[in-house]
Amino acid sequence: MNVEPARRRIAGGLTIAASLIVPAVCAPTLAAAPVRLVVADHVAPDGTLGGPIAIEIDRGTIVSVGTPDEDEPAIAGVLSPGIIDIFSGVGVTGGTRDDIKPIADDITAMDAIDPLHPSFAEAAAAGITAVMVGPTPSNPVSGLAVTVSTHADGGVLDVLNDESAMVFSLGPPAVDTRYGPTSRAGILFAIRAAMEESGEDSMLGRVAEAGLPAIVFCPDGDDAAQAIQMMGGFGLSPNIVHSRDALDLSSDLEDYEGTFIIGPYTFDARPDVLAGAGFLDRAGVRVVSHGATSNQPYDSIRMTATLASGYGLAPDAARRSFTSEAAALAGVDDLTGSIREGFRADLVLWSGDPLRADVQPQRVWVYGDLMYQTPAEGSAP
Amino acid sequence: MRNTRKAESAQKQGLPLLRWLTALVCTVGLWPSAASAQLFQRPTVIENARVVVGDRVIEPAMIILRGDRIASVRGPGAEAPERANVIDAAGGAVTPALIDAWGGLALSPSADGEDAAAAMAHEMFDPYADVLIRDALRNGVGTVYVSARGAAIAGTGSIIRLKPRDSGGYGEVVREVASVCVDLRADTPAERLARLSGVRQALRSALDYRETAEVYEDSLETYLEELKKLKDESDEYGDDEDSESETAEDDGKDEDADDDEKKDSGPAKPERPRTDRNAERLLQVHDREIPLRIRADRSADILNALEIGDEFNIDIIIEGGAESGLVASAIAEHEATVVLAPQTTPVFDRETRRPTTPDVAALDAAGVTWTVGGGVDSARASRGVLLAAKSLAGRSDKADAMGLVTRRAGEVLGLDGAGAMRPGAIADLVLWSGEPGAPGSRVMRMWLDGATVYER
Repeated sequence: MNVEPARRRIAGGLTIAASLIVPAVCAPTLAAAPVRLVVADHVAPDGTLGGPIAIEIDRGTIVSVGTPDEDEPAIAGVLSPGIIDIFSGVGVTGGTRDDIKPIADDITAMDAIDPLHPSFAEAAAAGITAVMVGPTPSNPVSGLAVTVSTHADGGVLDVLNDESAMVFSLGPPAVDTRYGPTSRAGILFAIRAAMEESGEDSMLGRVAEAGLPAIVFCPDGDDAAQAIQMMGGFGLSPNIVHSRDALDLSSDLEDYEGTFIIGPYTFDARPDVLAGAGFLDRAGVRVVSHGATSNQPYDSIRMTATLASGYGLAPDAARRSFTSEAAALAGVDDLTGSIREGFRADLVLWSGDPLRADVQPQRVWVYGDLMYQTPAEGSAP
Repeated sequence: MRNTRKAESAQKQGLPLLRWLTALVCTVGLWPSAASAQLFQRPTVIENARVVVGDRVIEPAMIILRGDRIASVRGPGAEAPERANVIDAAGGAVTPALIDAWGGLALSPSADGEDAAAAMAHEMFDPYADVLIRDALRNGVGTVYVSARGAAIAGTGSIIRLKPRDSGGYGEVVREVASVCVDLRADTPAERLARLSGVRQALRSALDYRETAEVYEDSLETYLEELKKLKDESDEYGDDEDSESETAEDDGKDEDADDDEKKDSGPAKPERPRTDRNAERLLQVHDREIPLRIRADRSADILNALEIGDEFNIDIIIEGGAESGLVASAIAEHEATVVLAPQTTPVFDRETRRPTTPDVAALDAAGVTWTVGGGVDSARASRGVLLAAKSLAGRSDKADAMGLVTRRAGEVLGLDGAGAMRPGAIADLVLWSGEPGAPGSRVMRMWLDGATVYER
């Protein structure tokens, strides 16, 4: 699988030529030459801890995955796919909120991303290798979410998907008491009408034809139920951003095929809220951990998964919730989010199981480039 | 006579059991109740456990509980005592119950109020907040320091163990007066300075109050002596009014009794100062009976807190301490303690505008004593003390997460011997299904005072 075409770089302040410099300045790097990396344990694509692993990386891509040779020295720790931060605040300048019109399907969050923003490096140091940036859900149809990697040094964006999903909102921010819609019913009517009337070539039309995923912000459990019902009328299973009533909703999602984005879970959340992710998982619903990293620590993504695991989410599902499931939600699961042959070398070497609260990243590679290593770490291979 | 002796002898021989039982009953009756309880209670034995004692890992270990104490911790091959209630730990870890050194568990919300050092935090604790308290128990938390909040001098912090009450609900107040709680945080620089000034003023006023009380005591003594002298003089002149002197003496003790006639003729009665509970509580801080716990996140506030400690020669505990790493050497120099909190209310870095994570490596390097609590801003966050400790300990080579929220937290709260796993220690224990706080590991059972308070 060739990932290079999808790895579209957009010049932002510097020339394209600058991107060629990036790998060179990030030495030591896995991208400079084919490299074999042997680690004592790893997070397998199914989210389990899969034991020792040997991978080979060439030009930013994992070219082989196997088990180490007998007596082959292994680096201590756990190798996992990089964290994918859903609805991230990384790289955003000036916010992503706009209230110019209720149906804003032609707004894209890409325009709010600053490739020179220092938060890319900070996020990478926390093990985040890709971020899905979405518009603030302030309109019934809020706009397009996009996904970029955190390899933005040199002012060049590494775009993984410039059409990850269309973002909808049923919450109070989408209510406009002056110009409407003024209620949830009004919002649902506006969305439904816009989808029915939209042409096949429009962004909203593509959502209606299942060509572009939908993500719906639902502050209340009722909102989620209504969104699933309304979108179901188009034959769609929308992805839902909702935590509070997930436990109650989980018993009524038999035919639902979407993903729930839960979190951020914090120490002061209600126990039944923390239990929601586990109930969803057991009901067969995919779960993605959301960290609200625009105003929370970057660790909050992992902490959400850790707390969810403590309240009933299976550990393997919890690890998938910030790797492979997050990649699928962002529409980049054919590129990253798992340690597989042909996938990007977006990897994190952790001091232990990334679900543990006392574990820290030791090294972080994005597209094969070593973006971070702890001061205590020796030279990278 | 001989017959009588025979009868007594027969009685003696025929009733040895009765005499023995009588002696036993008398002995048990006189025995201290706790000791007799331990003697006759079936011991609880937790076998096949993993225990860490100091630096030593014992596995499989056997822990024997008698009454409310840990009787012994034994290594492989140990045999359980007879009639013991045996619990198989199935290889799980047994640790001391966790101690939240700074929490708001089950506290009812408190509005902003007047400075009141004597307001008691434990009186805001809701013993019937079953969901919150059981959630803390299922996360291994057995003891919580609850902090007053809502003003610059918010009140008196208390320590509560989460034991079920006989009368219903939970909570045994083990220390009503554990600290005085101060909050130096404010939105504006002017408000911050005003708070700091208010705290200083209150501490000074407490000293003034003591001085006034001492002056009053001296004046009262002088007053009584003068009255006595007057009485003696009256006696010399044959004025036989004994009752007057008695009344005068009573006056000295009871300021409500007044007699204008005596005032006119005798010495001026000193006026007793009004009782000031807040000042009296702050005097306990001055006497270093309890620490002043100061909520301070910004480095400038922390330095101000340390200055207050120096100025009044009192014990300071910094709560929050988001930027404590920046002033670690100053904290160490002033021998202050820091209780960090999970960032339930994030403190943002002024430059990066990102939530600040305390630099515990800097605290360790400077030799600062620190631990972590659930944070007072939430009635639920006590559940997270172990994860918070792990999250912070993971950033330091020296810190031991479990030690931070057991022994260290007990030390910070002044609870002698709390959080220890050794014979003779209070049997506040947690049985985990695996490694405490690790993914998939659960609290299977919890004991407080040797009695099961939670079971999965």
